[in-house]
Amino acid sequence: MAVAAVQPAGGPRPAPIPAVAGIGLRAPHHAELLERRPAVGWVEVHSENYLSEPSFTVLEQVRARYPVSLHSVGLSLGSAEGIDRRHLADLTTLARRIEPGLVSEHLAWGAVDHDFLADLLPLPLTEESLDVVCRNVSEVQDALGRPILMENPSTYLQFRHSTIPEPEFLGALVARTGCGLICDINNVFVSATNHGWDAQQYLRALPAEAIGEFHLAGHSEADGDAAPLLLDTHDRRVSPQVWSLFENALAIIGRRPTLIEWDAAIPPLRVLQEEAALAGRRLAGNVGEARDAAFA
Amino acid sequence: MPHLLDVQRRFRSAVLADASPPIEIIGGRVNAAARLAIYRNNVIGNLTRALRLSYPAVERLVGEDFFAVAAQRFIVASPPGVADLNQYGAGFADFLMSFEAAASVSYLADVARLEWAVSRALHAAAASSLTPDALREVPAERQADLCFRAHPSLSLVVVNYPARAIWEAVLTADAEERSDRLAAVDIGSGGEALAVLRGDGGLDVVGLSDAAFAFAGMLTSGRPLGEALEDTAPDDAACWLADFLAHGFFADFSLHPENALPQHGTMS
Repeated sequence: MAVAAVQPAGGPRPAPIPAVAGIGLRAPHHAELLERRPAVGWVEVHSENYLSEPSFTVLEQVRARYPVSLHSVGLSLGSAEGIDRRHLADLTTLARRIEPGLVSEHLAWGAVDHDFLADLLPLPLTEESLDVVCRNVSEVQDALGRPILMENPSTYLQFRHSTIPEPEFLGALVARTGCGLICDINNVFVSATNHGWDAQQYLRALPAEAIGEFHLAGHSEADGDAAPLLLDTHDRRVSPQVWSLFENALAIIGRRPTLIEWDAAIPPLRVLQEEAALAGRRLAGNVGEARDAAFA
Repeated sequence: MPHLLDVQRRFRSAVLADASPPIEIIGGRVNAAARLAIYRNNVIGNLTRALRLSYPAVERLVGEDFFAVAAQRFIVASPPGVADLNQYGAGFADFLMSFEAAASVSYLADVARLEWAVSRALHAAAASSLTPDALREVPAERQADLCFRAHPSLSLVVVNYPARAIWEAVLTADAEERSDRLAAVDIGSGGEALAVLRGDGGLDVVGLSDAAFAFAGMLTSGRPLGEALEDTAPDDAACWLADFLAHGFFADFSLHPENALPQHGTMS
């Protein structure tokens, strides 16, 4: 051909996130991922870690090799006062430059009166909160020009004045904003244990067709006054009970892109790949074989 | 039923002020205070981790436990105003100055001041640096009107102690070499005027004379070159300006007052 096709301007076109296992990419694994280029289906990163230029450059290189999902932790979509426009503008710029396959956030809040508390804090599940979260999610979706996925949180307390069960709250959010959901299996397990919910019933109450992604991670047990609560620490392998709940979720909801997250005591990348392989085998339907491998 | 904003304000007090807030929480097997304490630990822990990343030398100088106490006090008094935690901690040096428990480490706040400039430089937006070539098209009679725009990664920092030497020594990886280097620092050797920025070669910490520092301060605050030259020997200034350009202190220039000359961006 004599004339090269004209490439569209701008960054890479969005690469869809496949319904296979991916890993949560954290800074300690940047160099190894780029050098060794392991066979990983896709990666998810915390958007807030790539707002500055040097880290963005790394993400651009990752994006050239893997489909990327942007997972935000700082938009505070449960804030009664609305969301921080500057942060939304930063995220919109990042999304335009990276063209992620998915963009997601949490059913949580972290900011009040312009104080950012750097955690995913629990919401009272009321009609007022539902209005607030719907308004904030819609604003993000309008800015990004695409729907986002909202993740069910792990929580350590419930407000006495909550009136809406969490899966119903998420279902109403989907119906009113057109957003999708991340079903974090570990969070379902942690919250169900902490509050005495039925995890299976929780999974059945979610709108399956709206779920665009599963999350898996390890948790730990609280000690002292907080025992026997479970803590969503992301500091170890996925527990046998959470693998088992994941198998139930696959039966109830179906296959979705599935992420292995690890945020503290981060092990070698190889360990995340092993966990991703265990998730991948369950996604491929070889559940029995995967269970054998997990306890080999 | 309490309004959400009210609940969120009370929750913040519970987390930051360690107060028992009037929040109605379902207790059960674990009481409300213990449930809230999990969130307090998470918030303080996450923000302490953010400070630790920006102030590794301060942490080494005072030790992990002391740093955690100082960080908690700072976090409670000045929680972040932005979600990007790379931008959190601007006031930590001033806090350390007034933190009585740290008073015996007189140089600590200065090391923190330098580390904040380093952190800013590392996270600043990318921008190309103005080169001497770009200035050639400015006619001689307009040179006094040159106004420079500082590179976004540049900070100008004055410290009263040899903060750079302490910072370099304390971040030495090898423990034995570290204590040798720290022992070699003369704490009484006086202050420094520093420019900290990120260039093509990475982080750049440049020591300046007091006069050159003052000149850099005038130029980076946008004052025209002619005005900045009024209190400066012209020979020195030419040298300094060449040095600033070589280190990439500036991102761009304009001519004051703006006139019909082509914009810098269109010259190439």
